[in-house]
Amino acid sequence: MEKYNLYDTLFEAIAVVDKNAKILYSNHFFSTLFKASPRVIKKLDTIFELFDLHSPFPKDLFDKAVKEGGNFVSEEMEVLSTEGNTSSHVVIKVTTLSDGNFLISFNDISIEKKLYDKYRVQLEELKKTHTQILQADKLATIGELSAGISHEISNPLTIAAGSMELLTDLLDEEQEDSENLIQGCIDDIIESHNRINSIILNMKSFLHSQAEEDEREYCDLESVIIDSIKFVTPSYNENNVLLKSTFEEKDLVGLVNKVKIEQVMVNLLSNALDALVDSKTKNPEVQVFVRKDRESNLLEIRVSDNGPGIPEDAREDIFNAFYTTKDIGEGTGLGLAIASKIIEVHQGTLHAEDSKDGASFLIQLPFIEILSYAQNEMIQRARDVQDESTLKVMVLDNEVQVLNILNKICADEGIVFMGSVNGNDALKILDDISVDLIITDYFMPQMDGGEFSSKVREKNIKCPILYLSSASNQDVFLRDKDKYGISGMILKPFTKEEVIKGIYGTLGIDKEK
Amino acid sequence: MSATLKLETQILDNKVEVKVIGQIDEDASFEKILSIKQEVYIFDLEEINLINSCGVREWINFLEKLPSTSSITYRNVPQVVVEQINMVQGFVREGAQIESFYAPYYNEQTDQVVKILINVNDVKDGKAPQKDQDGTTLEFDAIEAQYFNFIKQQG
Repeated sequence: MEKYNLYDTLFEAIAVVDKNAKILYSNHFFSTLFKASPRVIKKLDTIFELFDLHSPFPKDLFDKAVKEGGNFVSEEMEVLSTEGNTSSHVVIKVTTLSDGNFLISFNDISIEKKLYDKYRVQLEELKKTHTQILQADKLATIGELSAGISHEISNPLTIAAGSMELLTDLLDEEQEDSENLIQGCIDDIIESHNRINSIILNMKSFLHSQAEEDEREYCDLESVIIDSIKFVTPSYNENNVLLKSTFEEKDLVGLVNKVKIEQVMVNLLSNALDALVDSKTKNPEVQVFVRKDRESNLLEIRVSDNGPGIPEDAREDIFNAFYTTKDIGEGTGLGLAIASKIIEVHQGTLHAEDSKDGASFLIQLPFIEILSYAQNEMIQRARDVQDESTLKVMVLDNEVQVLNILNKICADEGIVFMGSVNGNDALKILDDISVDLIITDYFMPQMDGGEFSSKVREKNIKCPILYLSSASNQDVFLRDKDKYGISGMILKPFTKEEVIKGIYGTLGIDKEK
Repeated sequence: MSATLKLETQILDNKVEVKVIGQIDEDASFEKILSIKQEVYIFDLEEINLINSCGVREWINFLEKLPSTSSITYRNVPQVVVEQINMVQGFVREGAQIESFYAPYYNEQTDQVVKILINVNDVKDGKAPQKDQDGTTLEFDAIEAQYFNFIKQQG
């Protein structure tokens, strides 16, 4: 069968058979795949004999090729060598040749299959390890802060113990004004108990379960940062390090995972404290400064200290896992690597800044309007429902809880949600992103719903607007209805159905269809 | 390093003999050999039972890291490796020598295939040397032009 000799040059196992499946020709790789010498192959009545009973040749494909002609491809299957000690994962293709015979080729995908299986296993292991590393870092941080925490707990405990001692004496002595003193002691004990409870709650919150850590919601960043500061305050007090925080404005809302952002803040604050204590800096001080950079639409959290700073050559390395400047046993070298990863997942950045007066770390997070829009769009894409008809709704409300509820309702409906707490920020974003509907709260501190709607119309944005307010404010709706083209009103408190009806009804969409 | 690959080394004078045992696959690591700096490397491949295309890649990468002035010899090369050598350029580095290898022979009397160690120098004009077993002349059980292709490669 010299006419088939060209197949000798191919890197694929190939055999040519007649309509009775008798092998007329086979190349070198065919012999190698089945570990069958040309002598063995020559003796076979059909190619089927090379196959194991448990994984037989797909005869139906061959029969089809004989009957109808054309090309047919099998599913992935195992073939055993004739020696029985090795197996290969292959895809078989049957091709009808012009001379009436059939070319059978074997695409050996054993390596791909093996690597794919191995990759899946290793990916799972990596995920598990990542979770363990996150938890290990938290435990390490707790360990490092435990001295300060125990000191902080011992203070109220001392007060409570002293108060109880005094109570015992008072009850024994039965003095005239004892009632006031007893009440004072009880108040002190309750206050001490509350302080201890608050410290324990902070610790529990920090060591939050992993399952809830992937959820992001609208949060008041000021309270997230204050909670982080409270958590490290005992250690700062113990080492006489001043910790100041400045929030340039109100309504610093983020679409974040509260627990994870707390982890980042605690890490940065702990690092700053360690650097100041180790360097014995005079008048040690750490500052947290939070502001909105409206030019770049970024929310900035800066943590800076007046310590020795970070050497320039180490500035890149500090974000690498296992890099640490601390002594063995004092740091895991994972804190900043994890912090950086967490901020990255929030579509933000964390980097060390050039600073002559100590170290400074800057966290930059996109404004919630952009972040929520991007996140929602990604979710819809992942669900494969993102198309021209996907609805985009902007909601403006200064209460984060309302944003969280409406976000959830929209997510369930497959609607892209863009939340905002600030009218000016929302207006700015509307310059770049178009939406199908705007829902706005009416009473808001900086700009009310009416003013916001008027500015939306000034921008020549014609999409429908719904007011979100209590029934007692219907008069503002009636007043603005024609003035700003307000389509309707969703009454607070609202149900999921009312919101959905409000959205679809305003846009004239029959949800059932 | 792969749990299924073992490297046994023996250093004598300016020469290192490496016995490669087990599987050469994507997990194969030859760092142990790279840490040894010698002029002559002899690889005994007799106990290799599997080599896949990822393993071949690892092997070629390893060879590139050996000093270019060093001498390399392969001996007792099993059939699975001969098949790979015939398939992939670079498995035997330029200038390296294959001293001996296994080839399949068929004994018609016993209806058995036996793997016989033959010396490269015994292959003349691409023809398999004649081998006997218990008075029976054995039949070479592969296509000579393809099986001995690697001999041409090493010049």
